[in-house]
Amino acid sequence: MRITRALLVVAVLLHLLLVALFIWTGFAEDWPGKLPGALRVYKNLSGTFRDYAFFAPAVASDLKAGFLVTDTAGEETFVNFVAKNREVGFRYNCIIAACMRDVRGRDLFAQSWAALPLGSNPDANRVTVMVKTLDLPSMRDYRAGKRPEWKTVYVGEFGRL
Amino acid sequence: MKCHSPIARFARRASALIERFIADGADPYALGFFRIAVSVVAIIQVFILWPYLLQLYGNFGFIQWALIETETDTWLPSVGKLAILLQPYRVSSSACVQGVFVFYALSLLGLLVGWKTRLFAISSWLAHTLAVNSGYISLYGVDTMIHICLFYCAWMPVGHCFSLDQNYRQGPVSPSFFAGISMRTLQLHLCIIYFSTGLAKVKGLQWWTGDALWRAFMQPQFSVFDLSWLAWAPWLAQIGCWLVMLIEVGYPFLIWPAKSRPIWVIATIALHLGIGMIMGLWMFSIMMIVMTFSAFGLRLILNRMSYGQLRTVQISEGPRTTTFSAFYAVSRASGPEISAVHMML
Repeated sequence: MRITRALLVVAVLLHLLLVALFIWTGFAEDWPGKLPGALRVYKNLSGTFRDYAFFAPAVASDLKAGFLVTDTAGEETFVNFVAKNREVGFRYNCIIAACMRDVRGRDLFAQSWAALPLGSNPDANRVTVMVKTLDLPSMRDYRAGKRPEWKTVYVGEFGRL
Repeated sequence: MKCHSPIARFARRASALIERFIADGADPYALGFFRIAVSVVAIIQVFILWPYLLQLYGNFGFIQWALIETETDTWLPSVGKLAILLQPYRVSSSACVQGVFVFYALSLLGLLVGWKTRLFAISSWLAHTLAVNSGYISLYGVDTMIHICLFYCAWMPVGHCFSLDQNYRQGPVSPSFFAGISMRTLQLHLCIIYFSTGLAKVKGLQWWTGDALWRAFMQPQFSVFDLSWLAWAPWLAQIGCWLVMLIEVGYPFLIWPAKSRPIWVIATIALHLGIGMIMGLWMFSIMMIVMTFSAFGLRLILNRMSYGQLRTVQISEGPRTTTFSAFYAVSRASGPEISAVHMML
């Protein structure tokens, strides 16, 4: 019984130590080998796959995306990448932010987004993905009359093969 | 030979304190509450996400599986991998996504009522693991917290009270070492979470100038009320930012002492209620409230109600004094002799 308890204490301490190391040091993140691989699996299974730096160190600018869908007749329809449900909207924003953060992978992700309107609309021939970022003035600038502005940060056009 | 040097005395005291901190038993009420609350939040989340599942987690959703599957050196379970396994049985990728979420929801129901709790806790956790690895680009804080909680539900004694399992057993709800160490794990993990997020904010200039709150409140995705008037009261945004940093960085230090614990629990809950009301992040806020309340808050209320308290009984065993914890379900009428010190450590 005593040994079981001791083992449990050791396991718990090891778990918390790993949690702290994963978060604060990027422990085993890019290490090659089987043991670091196993540690990364543990990191994922125990829910330590993200750091806990919510809205820190800085609050990033808001992003929004939309699709300009052109059909075979040349007619254009604009579809906003937004959800009516707030909870789902947060997730859409996470997708937009994560994909745009990866500068090298932007085209690949945007192509993946474009596949959805192309796949769900048989008449759609071409999709232009547009992403804008909100340029938010500081409190001082806002007092001076400056207002938030959406600025285009990405445009990509994708069509059927 | 006994050593009486101050260092030796301090070491003995410290070791006794650590032993008491880790090894004292606890009743499973808070863990029972934790299980129910986490299941409810996760079930609500499934209901909200159900119409959007294929967009967020499906192979032909916004992010195709080929783009987010993990590298081959790290094997992580995902809906994508499960779909490949089920392909020979003519199970489509869409059916696989929906099947995983049905299985997840049913497991959560089992966990909620506490029937075969361990089994359903493990299946909930595994189903959630499959889902997060197939949609991690769309995840945000609430998913991380739910995953942590389900991981803990999978091995902690969360079904020892408020559950059908306990009802079938018909034994008394008794404190245990296992419940005690589980509660400590949850408490310490919360300290790591809050300290980490607090520290990250302290490093950011926006959090010192008040711009962080201004920027967060003015973002269309988080905007519930028009708070543009804050520009004319920048000091308010600044004080708000400082308070957030104080609550988060102070959490691991001030949540433990008996005197500051109620203040910190209330402040933390108020912080999350504020986030929910002002920014609309209700699921995330409720999840954080559930965690802090289960780990630190519920015991405060139980103690105040003089219900289900732990009494610390000191029994002398020759030269050594051992602390035992005995469980008493006492009514308010039993008077103030019940010690709350035990759980306040």
